[in-house]
Amino acid sequence: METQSSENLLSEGTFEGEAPGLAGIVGRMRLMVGDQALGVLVVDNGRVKLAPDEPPVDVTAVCKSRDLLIRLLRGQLNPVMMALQAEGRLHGDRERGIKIVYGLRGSNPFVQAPLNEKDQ
Amino acid sequence: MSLNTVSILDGNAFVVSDRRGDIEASPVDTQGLFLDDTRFLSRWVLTVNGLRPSVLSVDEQEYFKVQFFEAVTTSTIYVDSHLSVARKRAVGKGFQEEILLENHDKEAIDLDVKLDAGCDFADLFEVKDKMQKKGQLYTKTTNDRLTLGYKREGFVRETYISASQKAEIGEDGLRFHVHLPPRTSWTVSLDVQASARATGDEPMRTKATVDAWVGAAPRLVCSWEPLHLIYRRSLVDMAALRFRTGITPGALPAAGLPWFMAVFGRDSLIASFQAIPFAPELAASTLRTLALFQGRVEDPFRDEEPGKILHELRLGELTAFEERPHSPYYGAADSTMLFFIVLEEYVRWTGDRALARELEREARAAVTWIDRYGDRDHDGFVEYKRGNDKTGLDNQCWKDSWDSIAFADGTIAPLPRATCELQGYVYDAKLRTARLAREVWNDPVWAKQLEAQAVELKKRFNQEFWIPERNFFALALDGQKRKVDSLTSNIGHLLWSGIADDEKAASCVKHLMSDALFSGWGIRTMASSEHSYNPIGYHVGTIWPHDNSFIAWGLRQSGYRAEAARISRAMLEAANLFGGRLPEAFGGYPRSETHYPVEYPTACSPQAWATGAPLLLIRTLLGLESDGTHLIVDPAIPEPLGRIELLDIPGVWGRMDAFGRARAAD
Repeated sequence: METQSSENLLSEGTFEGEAPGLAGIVGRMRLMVGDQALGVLVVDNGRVKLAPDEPPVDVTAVCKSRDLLIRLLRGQLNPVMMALQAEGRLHGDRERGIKIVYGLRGSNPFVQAPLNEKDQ
Repeated sequence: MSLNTVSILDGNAFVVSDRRGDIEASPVDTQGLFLDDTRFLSRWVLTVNGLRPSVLSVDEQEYFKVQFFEAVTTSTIYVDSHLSVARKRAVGKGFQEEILLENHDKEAIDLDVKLDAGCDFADLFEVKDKMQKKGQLYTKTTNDRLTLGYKREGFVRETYISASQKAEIGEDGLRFHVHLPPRTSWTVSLDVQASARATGDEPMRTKATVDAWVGAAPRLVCSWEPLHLIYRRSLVDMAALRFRTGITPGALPAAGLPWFMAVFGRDSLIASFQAIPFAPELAASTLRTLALFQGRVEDPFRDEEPGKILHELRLGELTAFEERPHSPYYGAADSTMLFFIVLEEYVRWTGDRALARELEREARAAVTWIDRYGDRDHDGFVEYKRGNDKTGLDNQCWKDSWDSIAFADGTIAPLPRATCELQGYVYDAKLRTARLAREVWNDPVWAKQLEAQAVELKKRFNQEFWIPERNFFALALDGQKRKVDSLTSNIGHLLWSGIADDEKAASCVKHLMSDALFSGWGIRTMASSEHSYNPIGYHVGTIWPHDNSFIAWGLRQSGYRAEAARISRAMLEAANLFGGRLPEAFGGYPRSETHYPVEYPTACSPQAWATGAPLLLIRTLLGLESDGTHLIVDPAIPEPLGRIELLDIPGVWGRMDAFGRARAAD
């Protein structure tokens, strides 16, 4: 499996910031499009950052496309709808995964982040 | 469910067939194999030499398996059948069926055994509302498997059918050519698997696993024999309704068969509350699951608001394509308050403070919802009005049918509606949350604030909801802040929450026990004196067992021991006449007119909070309470029920026993 760093999701540099909806939640969620790993979303009690794809991870989010993954990061995806329409799925600690995806639905830094929306 | 159907279930997988075991779904018949709110088999018909066997008997051995005994007859009473058929079926993520044919004749016979199979992959809402499909149905056959499928964009559902014996597999089913010598038998096992969400490889339920679950509950010993059956039935039905999400650990109660085999906020919380002294783990699973899906954003389509606890989570096609808002839907004004009530009750009974600590963030968000969104117009009372005008619920209290909130003259109350029991729940929730804030979250300042808010709410409620000319509390305040003046069972919930002043509570008790509300079998949802009253109106005259269990519990807590005992006894006598299983609702006809409670035609059965009703009634009769350390027992048992013992009640104390016997004063 080819592993790429989180820079692939960002047009420039790395990105981190406040996500109040994730207060009280700690975890590492691996981000994948198909079988390609694009990095790890590190959640630390209300703060989030994109990090290179390195273990350990608690949960893996696999989306069908980069667009869907970016919508997930921006809090625009409902995890139930994502699963029902087979647009993506969560592996591993799915309870924590849903908490993270739901927590992103409030305000989060990725709404404004310069995420690279095109496949590499 | 219809008396002409047979249902087996396991969580949210269930099979409804006719009494032969055949499935022939039609627009008016809810038959099929269902899983995750989708029908995975709508036709399953057995024929032998072109004839459909006649049913001899049905053995509903356990809630998850059934056996049908049949014979292939010639339709004439002068010729005995020589060919018997037994069909054994067990449900899991589909079902397994074993068909046994026995030739009792002295001659060999050749048989053409056919199982017609087909599927419409209807969403449960499509079944209910008779809608048309938008995707493509298909079938695939291989040498050893028939696949029935449905595809609409990324939404794919398939059913796989295979057999243990060599079969001709066609697009419409499986065919077997069987030669049966005299006095021999032939067996085939059929495996029907539904493709659905990944929930892990949980093994199919067995009698041993059910017995283990029931065996972990307290043991009942009583002198009124029917109570044994009622108690056992409640525990087994609760076991049947356990629903695993595959995401959070454990199982929570689904709401009811057939329409409501899903995660619900209100229903799962109420059933969990009823079951706390018997199976407290249900409450823990319910709370964790509901916390996980707590609202985060303002989304009018789903009636979602930050901090709100969900109403209903569905997994079918209409939800997947946003033709229904249930992903999840948040249209319940009471589930957020019930969340606190169950959390505090659970912690006080079990001493499991870790769960309360785990859910502190969610609890704080939920209190914010009550004050910011629940009280929409900031008048101090929680009211509701749907954001989704097309597919949302008009009424977001437990009486959620369209005509339930009406004035005494029958006029429907305009929205938004602040029903009385919602205010009681807020009062109770704030007091209970204050207790948790002080004892678990170490926040005495917040606790004081919550208590002060509760005191102020009680004061204002007793002023603004009271109808002095009728001496009871208004059913609701309508959108123009007018008192909705119908006499309904809702006032009974005010005793449970403790929001009613003592004098006003006493007056409400008189109304509850009057002929207008108490039929002799139970308290009607609406008094027979009101214009909208209909003894078979869903929320305007029928009797709901869960409603009665909470009213009895509230009476007991308010010191009305005899009244609580009277309702408990009537409801348990009704349960006995329903074969031990209380339905969702039954007719409000006076007991003086009928020796049997009258069935409500479309009641769900089993239904979780009706299943839990006998449990709360037993708690009421024994006066069981926890003070956080000890089990308190204060029985008030009416004479005909004699003696009740509940042994090994789980709680913070470990296991304790409770004993009670009837006394003349009770």
